[in-house]
Amino acid sequence: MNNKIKLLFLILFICIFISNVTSLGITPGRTTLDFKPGLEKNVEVTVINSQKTDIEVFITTRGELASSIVLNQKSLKMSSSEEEKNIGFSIKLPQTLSPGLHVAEVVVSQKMRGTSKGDNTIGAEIAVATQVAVYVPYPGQYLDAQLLVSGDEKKKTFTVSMVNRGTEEIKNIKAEITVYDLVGNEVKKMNTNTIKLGPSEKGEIFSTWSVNVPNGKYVAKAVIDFDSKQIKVEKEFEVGEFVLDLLQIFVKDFKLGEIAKFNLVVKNKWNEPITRAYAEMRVFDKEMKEIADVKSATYDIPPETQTDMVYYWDTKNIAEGLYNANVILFYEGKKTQQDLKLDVKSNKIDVIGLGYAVSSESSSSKNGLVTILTIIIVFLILLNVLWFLVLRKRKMRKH
Amino acid sequence: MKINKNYKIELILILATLMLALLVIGYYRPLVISPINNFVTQNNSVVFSFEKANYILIDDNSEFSSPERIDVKNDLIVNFEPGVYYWKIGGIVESETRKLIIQSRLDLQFREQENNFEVVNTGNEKLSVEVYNQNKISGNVILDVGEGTNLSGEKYLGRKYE
Repeated sequence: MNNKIKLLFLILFICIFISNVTSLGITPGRTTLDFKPGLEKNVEVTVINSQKTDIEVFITTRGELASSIVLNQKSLKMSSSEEEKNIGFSIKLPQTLSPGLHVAEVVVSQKMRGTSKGDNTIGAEIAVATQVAVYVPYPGQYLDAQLLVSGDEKKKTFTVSMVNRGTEEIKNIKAEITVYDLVGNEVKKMNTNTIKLGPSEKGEIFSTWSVNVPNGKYVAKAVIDFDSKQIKVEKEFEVGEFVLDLLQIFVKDFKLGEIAKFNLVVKNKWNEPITRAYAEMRVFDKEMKEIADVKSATYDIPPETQTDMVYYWDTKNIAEGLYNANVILFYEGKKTQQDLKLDVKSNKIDVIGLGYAVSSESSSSKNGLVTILTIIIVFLILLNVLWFLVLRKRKMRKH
Repeated sequence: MKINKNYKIELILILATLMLALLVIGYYRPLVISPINNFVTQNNSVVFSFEKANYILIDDNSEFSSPERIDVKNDLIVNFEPGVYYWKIGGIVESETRKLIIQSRLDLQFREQENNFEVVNTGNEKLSVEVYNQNKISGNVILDVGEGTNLSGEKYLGRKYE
């Protein structure tokens, strides 16, 4: 009986929840066309009924090129069993359009059921728009460029992604990329490769950098040269991750039953100061019941600097043995946790588990096998050559 | 007769060399399992399944001019933004290149609240959401993928954020 009531409540809850959630989607979000005078094209998009309910949606057009779009239908009904349904429209572009980007939108909207809230009735309409973007080339040379930065804290790749939006080919495109730190000091200057781009063609130029600077924020500025013209793009990026590194924990001059002074050695590897950082340590007994929760004071740590953070643990009523613990560093809205074991003895506390025991699958065995096989192959090839030469000599002697 | 015997040994040696070479290449050639070539999805997270590889290269062009390299030995999940991507895996030799298409999907979810609506971007593209009151635009919010916010309006129109 109890179970039946629970089930009834669950069904009721689900019904209420479902009735209060509405969802509408469309894919793709954008269709891109290169302008050709009078171009006619049929486009198909998919309406998504993610909540799988019975819905009716209305389809309209809007935007600068709305008059160029002819809809195949103005409404669409979807049942709860239909998650997706295609709708089509055709676009006929005019004979002329000014250079640049022109957009039309096909909007799919759904009226939500009004619900009563006291004296008020709330009703709303939700809509999603798929765009038709038409690029009209600029006369002459015109380059659209974007700077992207990828890679890790050891190596960064600067990629200038470009599209020739002009009517003419661009024969020589290259860039000089300069990296600056946050105060504007030049850190690195580099040149990219050179490419050419025909009208409407996409391409990339790039340069790589073996990073040799402290972790932190930097700005890359690219000056792109193309057939004696220049454009500039820039991008802020980060080297490394903004973390306060916990290097070491140690306890000095300890006697069981007294207050233990824990020293945490932390390093700010970032190129900006970290303010109001503090540490918290929680200690657990064998049943994982918390027996201590201690915190340090707050510290301001300058960039690229090592600091000792201190907190105290009263070991009164603590027996010798191994305790689970975790240390959490709180800083700039972030927290990093390190799980440890504390080996408490009468006159010392050993902190176990700091640092990482890196175990990796031994690739040496595989590499060894490859080496052996390579040696065998080389040996067999040499044997072939030797055999061939001996054979030839013998043949020649015979003749 | 002796020459024939010599030729036989020569042939055996050549065949043994070739077989060993093929064995090495075959054994260490990375095995690409999924996704299949020209895979189209609206899901941002793609599971790459492969064997005998040390790394995967992903780029938005088939020349791999500026690839993202991930050192990985087994399967992995990569999150993508909508777009066209090319990928291959490498070990001792590299695999064939495969194409992957992440299709953009705009999806707005509305959850009815006490006096307004929570609008959530459940698609895979950053959205610009216009809010209308009395047929006039009264606000605009930008929603990251998975982000939601409380809004009060009569109509909400979501489109791809530029």
